[in-house]
Amino acid sequence: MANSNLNWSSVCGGLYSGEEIGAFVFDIGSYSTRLGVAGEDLPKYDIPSAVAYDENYEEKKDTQKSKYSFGDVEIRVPREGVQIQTFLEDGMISNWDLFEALVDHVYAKKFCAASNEYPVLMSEPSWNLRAKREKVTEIMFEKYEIPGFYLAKSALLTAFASGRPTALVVDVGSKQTSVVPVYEGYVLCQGIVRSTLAGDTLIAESQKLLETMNIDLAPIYTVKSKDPVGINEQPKWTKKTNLPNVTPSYHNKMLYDLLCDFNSQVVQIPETSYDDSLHDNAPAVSYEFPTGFNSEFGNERFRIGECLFDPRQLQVMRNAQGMLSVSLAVTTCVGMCDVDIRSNLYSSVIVTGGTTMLNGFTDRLQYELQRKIPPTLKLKMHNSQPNIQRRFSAWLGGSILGSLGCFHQLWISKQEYEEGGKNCVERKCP
Amino acid sequence: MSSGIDVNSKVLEAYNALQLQHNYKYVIFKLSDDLKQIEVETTKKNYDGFAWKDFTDQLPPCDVRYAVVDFHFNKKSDGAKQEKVIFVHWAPDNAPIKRKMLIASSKDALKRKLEGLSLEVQANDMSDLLEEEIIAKLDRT
Repeated sequence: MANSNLNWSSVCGGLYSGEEIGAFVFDIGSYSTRLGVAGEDLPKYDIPSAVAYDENYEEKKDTQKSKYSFGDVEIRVPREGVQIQTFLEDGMISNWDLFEALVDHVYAKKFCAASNEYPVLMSEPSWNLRAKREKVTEIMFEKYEIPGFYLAKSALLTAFASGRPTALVVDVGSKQTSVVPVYEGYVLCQGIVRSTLAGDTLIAESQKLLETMNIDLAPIYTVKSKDPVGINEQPKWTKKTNLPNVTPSYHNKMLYDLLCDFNSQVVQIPETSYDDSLHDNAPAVSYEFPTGFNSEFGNERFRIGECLFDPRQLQVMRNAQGMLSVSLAVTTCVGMCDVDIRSNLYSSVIVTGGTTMLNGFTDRLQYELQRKIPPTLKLKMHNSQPNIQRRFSAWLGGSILGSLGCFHQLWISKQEYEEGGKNCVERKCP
Repeated sequence: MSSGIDVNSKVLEAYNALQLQHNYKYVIFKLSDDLKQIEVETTKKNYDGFAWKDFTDQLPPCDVRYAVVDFHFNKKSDGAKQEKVIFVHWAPDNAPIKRKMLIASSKDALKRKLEGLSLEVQANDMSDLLEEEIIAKLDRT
């Protein structure tokens, strides 16, 4: 152990002063993966967790090109037979080949460093399975030969980064919403509530709405040129003719991008329950599609936003399983925790995740919870953090811990792994 | 998960002087400059006419601290005089994120050494440190 410590500090002596050590921090999310060096204020890279791979790579035998491509720009190049897939399912790593391909790429092209020189701190969802935790530990030590490893629950990193050892972490991401109770620096696993009502549900709603309005959702890669037209006029655009035969997964990803952009610019969470008559006079927002078609959206944008708090408003996936409104997920979670700590949790609600950046989200959650919880309990939402910190809170927490000299003793060292095997992750990283 | 930050031996001395001998009204702890230890920042000798505000005024608006206070109040039901030791975790939202991360992830190490605490207050702004609320919480126990 002492030996490996020495190595790290001498390796990183040039970069960091004193006791601080160089380590890489990986924060893996279902939409994007944040990567960077511990001790820095922002992740160096924020790359999509979706990976593009050539399904006919083995037949082509073209060694000039690699089978996989990564990054915002690279995966969006239209190519024949290239699939787009993410390596995560339910927030947990499920496609290990893609995961390893991404890590290979990260070391070779992003960090440009030998993996055996720096320890790695990685975030994980609070509901991660033991088998998966052990597997990732095994891969990092066996394949990448890293000198030290730590797996930290992202809800815990987020709570700590806001200065709260006790908190209720409400994370509304793209694939799911999770509410995780953190008490005295530990995740209370039995209280975790997850719901599939999240960003992607709103994407499906927007798609349905736009299709009903007969709007041509041609993604940007199919558009060759467009001319400006007046509001609600027929678009004047020409389609690219020399397009390769792209896969459905590629097309869907590009369509998804378009809808994501639409949602972030147009969708608004209403302050109180949605009501057609109430929102008829609400200010409209105009949006221009890749074809040049542009229109204004008034009450629709509130109706879509309302779905997060009232699944009855959903037009698609209405009866899908596991759809809990965000506020119900919160009250259910707290209800499952010990009576004595409920007031502590409600007085430290932390909101995180990409979907919570929709306009009006925090105010609405506050309004809903205020109505639902007993008046004797004090509700305090932590929302003063700037958006950048909200997006990267888990990464930042990991970056700070990983750079700490005294955190040293807590890493799983290579030696400990060799002596104890992969199951030491359960003991070292609770 | 904890930061691995250690607790300076003077911390326990100061705490015992407050908790057992009632020499101090409050003690404030901070992170050492090299971020290796939790150490004593201020000790306040017991004095008459202590007001809760005297303590809260000592908490920096943009930095993090821990504190223990020898808290006196009268029970609502029968007016009986009560003396309790409370622990305050102070992490204002506008403190730098690094300081907040450290104070939150090191608390466990400190609290495990302090025996006989009646109440712990996780304070992120002054509204978490209202005297009435603390009394109400202590009254219930």
